[in-house]
Amino acid sequence: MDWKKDSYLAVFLLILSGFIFYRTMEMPSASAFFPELLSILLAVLSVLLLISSIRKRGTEADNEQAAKEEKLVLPVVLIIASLILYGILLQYFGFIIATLVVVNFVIFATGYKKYIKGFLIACTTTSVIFVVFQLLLNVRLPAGVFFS
Amino acid sequence: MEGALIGLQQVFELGNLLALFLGVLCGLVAGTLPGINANITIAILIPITFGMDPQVAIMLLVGVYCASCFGGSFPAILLRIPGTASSVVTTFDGFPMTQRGEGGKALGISTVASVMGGIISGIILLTLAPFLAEQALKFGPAEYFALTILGLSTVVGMSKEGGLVKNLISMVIGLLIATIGMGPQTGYPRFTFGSTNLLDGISLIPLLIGLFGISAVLEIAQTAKKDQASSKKVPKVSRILPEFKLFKRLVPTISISALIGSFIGVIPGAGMIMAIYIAYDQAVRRFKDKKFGTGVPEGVAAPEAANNAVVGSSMVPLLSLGIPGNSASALFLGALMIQGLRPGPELFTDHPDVAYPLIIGFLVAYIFVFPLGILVAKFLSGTILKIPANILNGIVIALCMTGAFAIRNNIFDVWVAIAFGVLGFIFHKLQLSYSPLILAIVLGSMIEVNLQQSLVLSDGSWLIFLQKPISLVLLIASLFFLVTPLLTKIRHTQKMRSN
Repeated sequence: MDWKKDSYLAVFLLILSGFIFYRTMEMPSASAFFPELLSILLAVLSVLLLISSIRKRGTEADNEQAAKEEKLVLPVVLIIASLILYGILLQYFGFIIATLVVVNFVIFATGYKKYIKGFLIACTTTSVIFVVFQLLLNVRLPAGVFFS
Repeated sequence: MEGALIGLQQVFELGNLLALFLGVLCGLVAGTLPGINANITIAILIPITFGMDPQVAIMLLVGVYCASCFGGSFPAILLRIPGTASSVVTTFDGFPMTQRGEGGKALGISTVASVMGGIISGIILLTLAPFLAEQALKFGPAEYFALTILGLSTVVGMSKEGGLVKNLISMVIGLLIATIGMGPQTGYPRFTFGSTNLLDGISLIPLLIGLFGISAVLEIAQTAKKDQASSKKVPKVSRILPEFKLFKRLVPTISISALIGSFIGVIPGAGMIMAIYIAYDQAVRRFKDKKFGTGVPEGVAAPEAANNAVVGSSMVPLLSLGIPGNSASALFLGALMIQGLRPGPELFTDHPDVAYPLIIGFLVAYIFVFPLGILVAKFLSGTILKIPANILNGIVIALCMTGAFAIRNNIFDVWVAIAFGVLGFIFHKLQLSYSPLILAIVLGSMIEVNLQQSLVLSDGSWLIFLQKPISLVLLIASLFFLVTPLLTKIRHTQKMRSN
């Protein structure tokens, strides 16, 4: 159902372009000029996309079978969640804990079954990255609000 | 010519050679892994190169770029799983050869074709880039504006996914992302929503790490259960180097394909996929008596020579004009910028110590690609292909997050990488193509500045772009690139209807 996706996208972009245009009105004219131009362009393009997606309706309705290729949603959601978790952990608990937790999470949440091996790999990854960045490249990795 | 010699001398310094060697090794391993390609690897490595000497940093990345597209041919030939998108066509004849027990021979052909393709395009890069750069030094703002428009319109016109309107949408979104931060001239904060972190705009490297690294992990996770690679048995490989007779037979095919690849590589946005199909198609036409798709050596040689030829020549627009023609060269732009260097025509005059070694690196890398490629193909590809996707995802995520942080020691950049990872994934889902987005983000401020400067010069008249001859020619060329793919499509559908 590509046309449906496209029409949602078009409506979203149309609203976005309106919002952008609205924001440019409060800018000084030299700064507003380019984004204003772009927002108008975006609005025109989303209308074109909307028209073409509506015209496509019906012509590809029967292709659903082919589009139903097996795609996993859960691992994607879990990984995005783990990334957000990482950002929070990094702030409060520092690099080592954040990385260790998230790498383990990513490995096991997506269905890896060899627990000891997975855990060891996560530990190795964390320590190798720590050594390379903190010691060899002199990057001060976050120690976390709680520990500093 | 003098510059080339200096470049050669510098590439052969020990540190640079070592970096090139390591880069080639990383590239081969990354290319072999399905789902991981040059862009992801370069994005992850840029933060590591941050503290290095510019020459060493660039050598590492050149090695990765040269080797990864060749590495992609290993699983393509052995398992019929293209390691990178650029080796899709290699599966057509490479895998049937493996089934016949000639996997080693196919890998050997791919090695020879890749090395020759890479070297031919390296020579083209070396001759074309300094020449074009010299011409571009005479450009004013109007010419530069037209040039950036040409870059964008070729990318928009050439990108396969989505169609013209969606590619343009991708581009406009990219240009809008580029406007975030203080506006040029006025310094007024635009779309920063009060955040001081956004005043300088979204920083490029975390953004690219998100778009390439994290969204790739999400893509891999989506299909992790069907994990084809680690469950298939990797066949044993025997003799690899092709006999001299076969080599001699393949030289014309390799040369023609390499020239096709080099030519396509120079055009911004055209890219490897187009090059491999055209080269393969051309080989099929030349050998009408052979049954392509059943394991014909020419069918392996043609795409592999073509995709490696794209590698070197795709750097021509970036090095000579400062306009990246594909995602990989956009990443090189980022890598040069964090070293305080601005790619473009001035690079050859202001920093010949970086510009020339960079180019020569594309030639010298193949000294390593050849032996290391054979080594990895023979002994390591089996092991690499057994790495489960879950483990790979964990490692890549950790590297992406650390890298995004390390560029500016700023946790905000970690969030930037996460946000753009998700955005990239959404782009894939909606079939919005990447290249116009990335090029627009990179070129956005350049377009705005040159547009405004031109309009100041002309007292606000847009006719300035048509009055300057060079800019007029460039704009006509832009229109040509934008409209041609559309016209061929219309003609194609009309033909289909009349049949």
